[in-house]
Amino acid sequence: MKAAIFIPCLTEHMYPDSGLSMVKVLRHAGIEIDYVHGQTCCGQPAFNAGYRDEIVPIAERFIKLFRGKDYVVAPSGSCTAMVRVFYRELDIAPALRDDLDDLCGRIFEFCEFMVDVAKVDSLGGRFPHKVTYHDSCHLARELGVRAQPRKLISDIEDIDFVEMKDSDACCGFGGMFSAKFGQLSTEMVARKCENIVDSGAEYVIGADAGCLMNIGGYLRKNNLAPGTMHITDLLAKSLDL
Amino acid sequence: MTDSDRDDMLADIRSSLEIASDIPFVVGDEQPLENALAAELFDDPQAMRNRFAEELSAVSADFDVLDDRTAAAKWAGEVLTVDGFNTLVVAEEGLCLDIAKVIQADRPEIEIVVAGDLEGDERKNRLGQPTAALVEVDYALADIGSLVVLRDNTASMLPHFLPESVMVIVRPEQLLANQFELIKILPPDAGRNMVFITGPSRTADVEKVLILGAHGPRRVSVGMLESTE
Amino acid sequence: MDKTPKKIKKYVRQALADMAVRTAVANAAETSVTSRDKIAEGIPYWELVRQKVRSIKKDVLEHLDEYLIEFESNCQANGIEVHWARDGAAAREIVGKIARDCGASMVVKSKSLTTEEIGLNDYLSENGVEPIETDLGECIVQLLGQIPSHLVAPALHLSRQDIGRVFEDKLGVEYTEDPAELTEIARVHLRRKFLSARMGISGANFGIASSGCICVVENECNARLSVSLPKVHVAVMGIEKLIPDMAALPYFLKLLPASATGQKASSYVNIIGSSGRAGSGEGPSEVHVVLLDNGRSRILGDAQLRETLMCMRCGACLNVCPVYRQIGGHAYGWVYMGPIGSALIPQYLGEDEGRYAPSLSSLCCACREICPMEINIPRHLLKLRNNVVRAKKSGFFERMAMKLWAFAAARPLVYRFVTWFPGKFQMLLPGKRAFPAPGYMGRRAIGRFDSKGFAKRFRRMERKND
Repeated sequence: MKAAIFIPCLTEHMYPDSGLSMVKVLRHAGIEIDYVHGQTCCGQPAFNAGYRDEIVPIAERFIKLFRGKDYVVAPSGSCTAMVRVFYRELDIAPALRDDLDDLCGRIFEFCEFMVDVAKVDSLGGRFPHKVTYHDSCHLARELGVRAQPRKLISDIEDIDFVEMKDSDACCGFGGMFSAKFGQLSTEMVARKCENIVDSGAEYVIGADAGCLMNIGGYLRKNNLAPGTMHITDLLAKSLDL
Repeated sequence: MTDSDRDDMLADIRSSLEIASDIPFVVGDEQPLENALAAELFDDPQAMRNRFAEELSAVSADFDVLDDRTAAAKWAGEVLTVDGFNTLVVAEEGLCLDIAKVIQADRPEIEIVVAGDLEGDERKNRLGQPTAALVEVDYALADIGSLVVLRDNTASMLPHFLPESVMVIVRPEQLLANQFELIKILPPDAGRNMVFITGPSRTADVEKVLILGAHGPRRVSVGMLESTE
Repeated sequence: MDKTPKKIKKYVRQALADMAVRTAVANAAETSVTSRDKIAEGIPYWELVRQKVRSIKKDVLEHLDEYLIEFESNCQANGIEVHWARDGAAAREIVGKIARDCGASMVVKSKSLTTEEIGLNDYLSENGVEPIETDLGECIVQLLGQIPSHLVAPALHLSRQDIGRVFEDKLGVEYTEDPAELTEIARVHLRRKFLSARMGISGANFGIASSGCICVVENECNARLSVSLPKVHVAVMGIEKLIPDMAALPYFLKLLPASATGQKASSYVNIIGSSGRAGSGEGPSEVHVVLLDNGRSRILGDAQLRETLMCMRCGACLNVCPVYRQIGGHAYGWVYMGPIGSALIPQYLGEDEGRYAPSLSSLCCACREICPMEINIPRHLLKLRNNVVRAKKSGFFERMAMKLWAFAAARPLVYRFVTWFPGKFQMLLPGKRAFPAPGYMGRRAIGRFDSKGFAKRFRRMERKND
């Protein structure tokens, strides 16, 4: 099985290790990786802020870039949702409409790819720590992916997986929302971090870099104990990759 | 002015509707819902009655089974005593007035007020004083503990809503499973003016603390009357 | 009321500073959702009912002119007078005239956000008619000169002490903060009004087209008394509130009380289909329905946004919204608040007044999941944000930044160049600090840029592997 990877901008610029972890884990699961050069961004930050015409060239480029790839895998629910759910809201050139429909059937977030498409059974890793999981909004509600990350986490040997209160409550990132309504957004992440701390977990696992950056940014600034880990990093670590 | 508004509004709506909807929509099969609703019907009258009693309790209404008029009079008399009322309001001549007279026979201090016999403002103001009432309804709904009053079947609806304490006589044959069943059997015109009553009036507007008895009745007592003898 | 959604940023700051209101709002919201969830879980066919009411509403909206004509005709056959009001001003004048004609110097009102939408109370007061709000929450809020802070629980933001004080101040009673006693005070005070008012004004939760009647759902019995004791009853109803027939009603009533207040049923469902019987001396001798447009037919003209007209004003989206839970309803600056409010504000008030409202959301989609009508509020907020941008109301610097970034992101070399800077600039910051980015300068820091980025690191990893 061969999969092209899409690296979200936050991963590219801030958390490249998560991207590398995803590559290692996919290869460990026997999937051949195809890294398409010249990839940039899916366009979501501007789209969410209300800009549509401006990102049509970005979207069209994305569609063309990943034409002909069997699968496209991204370590991000928001980027995947941007393509699968929101690209159709844009004035994409009619000639590319069919390509977009086709792409929508081939692009997956990492967890859903591993469990639903590659049908990877237990990877066989080990991570003897207490962890909890944060459901990112786009991943859980736009893509309906909740069980798959939990399966990947629970399959790890010796892991102590606990659910936090309101695991799917929004962490308050929302892209530009966190900048536009910074104080409000901070209150929302404070609530999330309270729940993480109350769960007793050593790490909060997430599948979206934006959420993890937001949560981590609060945990660290306030000297709270739990650490953040992207699920790709968790799996890579558990497998000693 | 309002006539041209009518024309303008209809014209605006029609021109708006020239555009087809962009509302993602799933055309579903009606059958699963119909089956689910059919499954909600009760196997037997006793099961339906038990459910009715449970639901009434859940909305803080009382429920008793009354064998006959004498039992009804005793039941209503007890409520009057507990609530401390000496006035009993009924809507009109009929079953409730008869039961009220039975109570009065034993307790001459009880004053009976027949709402239908009072006119206009006098009716409003008399019933607007703190009193108790004994009323009938047209139907009762088991699944949520509701009572159904059709305005056109009674001389006055005020006894259902103004008094502090309302005692309701329900006949077993009036009990239906739910609103869906009610709508099926209601004659079309009859349903145009009616009220579904579920428990006493209530509010939680002060710090979300539930208080029974906002502007309407504080207490609703339901008596299932087995026999009208 | 001098609140405006344009000042949302200020209101949000104020709301966040008020811990008392925030706690009250968050607790009430959470409780409501828990109660609602319990009921929904107990109804195995809940999703099927949702689909059904959605399909009913879609059909009504797509044939709204036909349904309105049917409704009008059947109401008239029942002796109900039907008025058409293109906008708030027209509606206010109609209600004002009816009040004048029946000589009402005071009217009792049951809770109607539609009448708040059109500023009816102020208009009546200015024209010699005293409007008395009879819903307890609305009564309290009216005494304080405020607008409601929730679609269904108007006084949610007030403590019992606040309420005790305003009753003492405005009603001249002895101070108490006991909820039961406060309710009793209101009962006695308002009972007098119910019995003496010549006219009652209500909203309508539903208008039933084939029967020519309206439906008003409530718990306090104040609507019942408002519409049946005075001689005249006027109902102000948005045109989108129609449902086809009585058979549809139970489906809506399955979802509405649960979603609104976590109840299986509201205490009273009032169905009003004609004036009182002549000679009975009871019930109104005149019933009027005012059909209000005020922008609804225009909203109908947007193929996507017309879905927002399906809203039943249950308030479930407010209760579940993580943003609303932090700031409460007043922060939105208008009578419709929360997620649906964010979507309605720019549609009713325009992109200038409504420039911030659609952005007051992290697009978490919890509202869509709980909405009985499955209204895709986040999708609409995204479109409305685009409308604000197109109307050039989105702020100069933001526009320029977005255009620059979009230019870069479509061109990989430019992109690499532009995104090279932050990582380098970051080296100027002392220690391991991150940028002081807007929104990330308080109790939270933004992430740190990696010095190399994924592409470079990946290339290096591949070279090592070879």
